[in-house]
Amino acid sequence: MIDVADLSVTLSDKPILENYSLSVGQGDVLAILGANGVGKTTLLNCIVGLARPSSGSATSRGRIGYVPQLFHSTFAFSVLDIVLMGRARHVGLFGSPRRLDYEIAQKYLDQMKVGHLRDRPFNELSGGQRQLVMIAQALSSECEILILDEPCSALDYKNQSIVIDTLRALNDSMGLTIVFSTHAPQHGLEVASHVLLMKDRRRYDHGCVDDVLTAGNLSSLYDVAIAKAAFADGGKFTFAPYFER
Amino acid sequence: MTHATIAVLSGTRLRTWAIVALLSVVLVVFATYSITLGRYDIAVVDVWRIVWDNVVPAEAPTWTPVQADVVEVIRLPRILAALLIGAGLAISGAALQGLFRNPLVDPINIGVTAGAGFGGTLAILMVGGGYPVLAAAFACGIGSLLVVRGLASVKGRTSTLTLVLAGVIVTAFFESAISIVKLLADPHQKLPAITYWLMGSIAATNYSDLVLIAVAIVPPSIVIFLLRYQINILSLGEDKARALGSPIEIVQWTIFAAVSFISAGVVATSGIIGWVGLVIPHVARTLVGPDHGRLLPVSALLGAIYLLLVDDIARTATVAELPIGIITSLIGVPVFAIILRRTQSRSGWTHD
Amino acid sequence: MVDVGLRSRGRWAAAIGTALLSAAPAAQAEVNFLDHRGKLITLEAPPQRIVSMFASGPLVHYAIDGHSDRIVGVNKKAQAMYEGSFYAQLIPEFLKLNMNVAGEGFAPNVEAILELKPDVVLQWVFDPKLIEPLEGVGLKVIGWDCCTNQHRREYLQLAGYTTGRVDRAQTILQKQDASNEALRKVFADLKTEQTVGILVVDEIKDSFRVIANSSQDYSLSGARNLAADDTGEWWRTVDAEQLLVWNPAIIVIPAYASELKPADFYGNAVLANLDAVKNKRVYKFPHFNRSPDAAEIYLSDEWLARVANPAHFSSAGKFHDTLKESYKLIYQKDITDEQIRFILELEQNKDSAGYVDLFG
Repeated sequence: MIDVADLSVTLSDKPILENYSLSVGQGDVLAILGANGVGKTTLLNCIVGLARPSSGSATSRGRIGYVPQLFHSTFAFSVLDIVLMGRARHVGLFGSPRRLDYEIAQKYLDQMKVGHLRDRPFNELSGGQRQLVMIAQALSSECEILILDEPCSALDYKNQSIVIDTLRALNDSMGLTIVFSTHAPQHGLEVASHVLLMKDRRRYDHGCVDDVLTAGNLSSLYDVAIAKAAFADGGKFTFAPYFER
Repeated sequence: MTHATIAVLSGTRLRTWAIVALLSVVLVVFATYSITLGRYDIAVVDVWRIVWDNVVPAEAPTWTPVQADVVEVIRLPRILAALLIGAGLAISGAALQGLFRNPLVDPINIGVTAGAGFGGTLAILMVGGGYPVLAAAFACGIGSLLVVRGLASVKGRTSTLTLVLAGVIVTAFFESAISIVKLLADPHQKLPAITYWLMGSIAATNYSDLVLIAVAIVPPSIVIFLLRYQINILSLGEDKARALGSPIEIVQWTIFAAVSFISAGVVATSGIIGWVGLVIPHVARTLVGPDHGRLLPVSALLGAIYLLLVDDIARTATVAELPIGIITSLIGVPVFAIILRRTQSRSGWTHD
Repeated sequence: MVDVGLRSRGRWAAAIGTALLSAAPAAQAEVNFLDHRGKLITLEAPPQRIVSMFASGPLVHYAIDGHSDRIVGVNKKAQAMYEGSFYAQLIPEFLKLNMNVAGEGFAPNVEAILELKPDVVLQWVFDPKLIEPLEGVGLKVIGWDCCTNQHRREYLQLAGYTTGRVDRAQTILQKQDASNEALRKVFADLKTEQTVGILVVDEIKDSFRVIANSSQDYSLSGARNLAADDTGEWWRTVDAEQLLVWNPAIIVIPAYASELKPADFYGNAVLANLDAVKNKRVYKFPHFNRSPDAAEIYLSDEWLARVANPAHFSSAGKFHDTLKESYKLIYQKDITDEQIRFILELEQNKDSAGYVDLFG
């Protein structure tokens, strides 16, 4: 679905990425991890088409729904208004949403469990609720690929859980290809099939979760001791940092 | 199905229709009242009879032909012009605000009006008159929008401060350019023509002026209304809009063209009138919210009523007629300051 | 408005002037008089080189002197006025004057003036900044005030004192007084309500500009200005409805409004209901009205009287003769019939009611 070939990106004369190559297959869930500023957002922007590569390419087959990291609306649109805007690809240039568009918008709002917030001003929602609305907006475009930029970074655990569960459900039920960036390696464990560890602009590790998402790789990625821990009832694992100098 | 029906019949929709209906009634009533204002003595009932006479000819007129002329030739075109111009400027303001994601934008403070004024002035200097003047006003109006957009966008983000400053810069530039043109103009022929063109007012609108105003305002307004959904999307930000799949370049160019057309038509017939596009969408937004499908029609109606009110004041308040642009400034600039203060106090200077 | 004797300053000037000058004209004695500021002006001899900061200075001096040899410079606005009026034909040498003495208005270009080496400079008194730069470099300035009829009478006197030709000033003033007196007799029995209602319109744009309160006494012409009020404002800008409310019998256009013609009124849809337009009684003032300060301005009163109340002049002499006589007296020139047609703006006024009969 997504092919990144020898991608290099320079912004304001600063090289951000050099020679990144990877691909994402249909139905994959890719978690992207890396330190702040390493270029996660830039990579996602290239895939979405918002940033232009200096060399190489990032191509995708299929419609992309994009959920940005932080979103604040200048005007006091309602939640429904926001989600309706996701229907842009289906409403013509001079058109306006019709009954079908309303129905689809409502459907995804309900799916995200925020249907009851339909008429509330978007800007008054909590961070978690806003993320869910933005996911509903992306889904309303009836995309095959969902790209999220740090969807959980500003959320508490409860909301993180809702979002991660939602992503898993979308992948299971709709076969949606998902790419998301995160600072929490356990998200990768929970929902991803593949993972990309971005060390710096040249070096990265890409592969199946089982192969690449290891404590050792994570420790060297973040330069912090990270251990893989098991839950008491067995079977489930998580990653935890150990801050010690 | 139930959810969609609820959405269609939701409170906001009903409320919007109620407001539109109410404003339409107010507009008709107010226009009917406005046509009775004037120095020449005509009985109020006769005024309406004269207007109705054009629809259904009366058998025995209770008025004199002079009175009919006063109503039909002097008062009526002016009132219609005020309605059209008010609606057009309000729609232009709302569209620009959506485009620039900033509720403080108005054609006059973003430089379009000054650009149109300069274009027309230059055309008068070089060609003399007629359609080239309108075309030049239109072209320079668009040019000023492009310059402002170029100046104000840094890495795709546009802050209030840079936008306002860019508008100030562009306006100042074009006003200086107009002064230079005036200096170069022959003081006996071209200079009076230029001064007259820039100072124009609604005062002596005749029916051919009115046709020009209608042509300059109605089609572009319809185009802007057709783009209401796209303006919603654009107001989320260029990146977001592009990611959603909106053809943002086409939308931006079309809106720039439409707004410039309206501004050129207004400047060419009626002089510099500003701040309507700031005040009215602001009020309309508090009434029906920011969705442009509701905002644009309500802004148009409110703008028409507002400018008619301003024009009534302009022609009846004092013995000499007040220029309409001065009144809209006296109202609009303080409103601008109040809105600016409110938005800044809520979210700080880097509000985007 | 009727002049009742000289004001005190004028009387003072007259007193000193006549005391110091001998009876014979062009005496070489030293001259002392007060200008309109009340400042004492002392001239050892009549000036040979005069710079005027305004258009009417040369006109008044020409009338007094009979020649323009003394005038060496005038301001730029004067050029437009001379070129577009009868003065271009009457006094063509004015067009060759140095016109650099001021910029757009009356503000002096001191260096240009100094280059002309004037003996005196004529300047308005209403703004001290107009005179300071001149006196600051040692130039002698004679200050003229504006804009009443009394001031205009005194221009002739000041020019007379300046050049030593007080006799010419007296002759012209007497001619003016005689003309006004004759008009007063014609309309002595006319009550105010019986006078003809007129408007003086000098600009048609989106609004209409009329002269509300000016120095011209319309009662001399058996007319009254419908726009006159007690505000003292010279102009008023009004809309079409106000014009309809006033509904003047006659509309006159001042001569200085060179772009405006009676045809502009006849072709205007908004004005079609005015009596003056319906009856085609819109007239353009002739060229002797061009400068309100010039010596021949009194002809405007008689012209308007004949236009507004033709019946009162059916047995009077022809206006053509009055014109020939006046120009001969004031400018010492004979004017041809062709020139008279030009002065009377026959081309612009030919479609207006009765004009060709009156003045053709």
